[in-house]
Amino acid sequence: MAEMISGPVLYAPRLETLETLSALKNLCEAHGNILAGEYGDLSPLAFYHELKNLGCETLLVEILLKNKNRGLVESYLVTASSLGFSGAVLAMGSFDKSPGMPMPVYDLDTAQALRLALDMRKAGRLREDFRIGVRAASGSGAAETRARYYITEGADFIVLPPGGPVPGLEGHTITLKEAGPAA
Amino acid sequence: MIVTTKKDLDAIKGLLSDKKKLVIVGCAECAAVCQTGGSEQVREMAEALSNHEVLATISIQSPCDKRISSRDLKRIAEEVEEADALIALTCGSGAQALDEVTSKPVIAALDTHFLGMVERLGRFYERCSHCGQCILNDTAGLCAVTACPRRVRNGPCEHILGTKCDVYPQRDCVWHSVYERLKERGMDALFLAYHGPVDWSKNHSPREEIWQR
Repeated sequence: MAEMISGPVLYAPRLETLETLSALKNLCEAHGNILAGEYGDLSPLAFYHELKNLGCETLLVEILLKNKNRGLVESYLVTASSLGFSGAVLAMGSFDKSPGMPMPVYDLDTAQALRLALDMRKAGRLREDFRIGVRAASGSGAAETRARYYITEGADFIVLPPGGPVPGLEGHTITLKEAGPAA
Repeated sequence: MIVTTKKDLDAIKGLLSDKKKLVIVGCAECAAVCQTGGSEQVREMAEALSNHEVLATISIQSPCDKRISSRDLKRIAEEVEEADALIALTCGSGAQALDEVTSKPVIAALDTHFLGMVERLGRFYERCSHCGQCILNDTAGLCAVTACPRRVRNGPCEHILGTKCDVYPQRDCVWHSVYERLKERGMDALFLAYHGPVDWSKNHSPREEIWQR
């Protein structure tokens, strides 16, 4: 298991423009750790070097399952690990319903994606110190049981929105500074 | 039961511009229950297409069953032979079966939606996605895959709002319901049974079930 991240993590759900990236610099200095989300127009993977130059201690990338099949999830994980991201956070992603749009992907769920990522790390396709986290929830027996499952299965941490923790998982939880389950 | 809805009539008429002689075929099973392809809807369609020559109308018990369609269409074999097209008030499977048994152009007059559980007339609920790898025995009899908009096989996901679904906030998250039901039945351990992705190698379309005799 990779080392736990210390300190708060700021969630930047959207990278829209290069100016947005620059604006993260101050936040990065203040918070130290950033989870770069992929809800914006810019892919955090493509802008790794710009993100790295912000001077964050820990740089995580969010990998949404709503818009990727298994092949693309693998590709994102390997790319993120190879580029030097500290780790990835697996999340289902919001359910978008717009007229005329095809259905979202959700090829894997987070438990399946976690198993995939852990197997990839074990097989040497990801760096040994590449952290693997999962978006989880609290506030109900079902949600908290599932959150514990992720850690038992081998996730390095779970990520929760601000609010109630999952009892017993305090040492394995990153509580985001910014709002919400993946945007 | 296969749940269907009617296609827009003008769109159907638009497909019939070069087809004068028609046979209208209804379904006396699923589409009849949905009131999209029963005998009344067949009659309504015949009236709506009165500027065409409707040679015959027929309601078939299971038009999706080629054996039954072949048998019943023999009663109007001459009309079918003479027709420029068949109008199918059936599900997609029925429309294709009619095409296969008659080799006539078939105009599908219904849209096919889902395999529905019937509560009463006009209240149909999707409870099964016919994924081919059923996990009902692990989920206390609730198809969490169908009831979850994201089709999560190991839930709940991070978007659960307390005990509610974020997509349908008035409804309980199905994985919450599974959890509670398993707990009531003393089967808690099943909640964490791992369900892999549906094995696509065994489930890609078109699926077939062929008995080996």
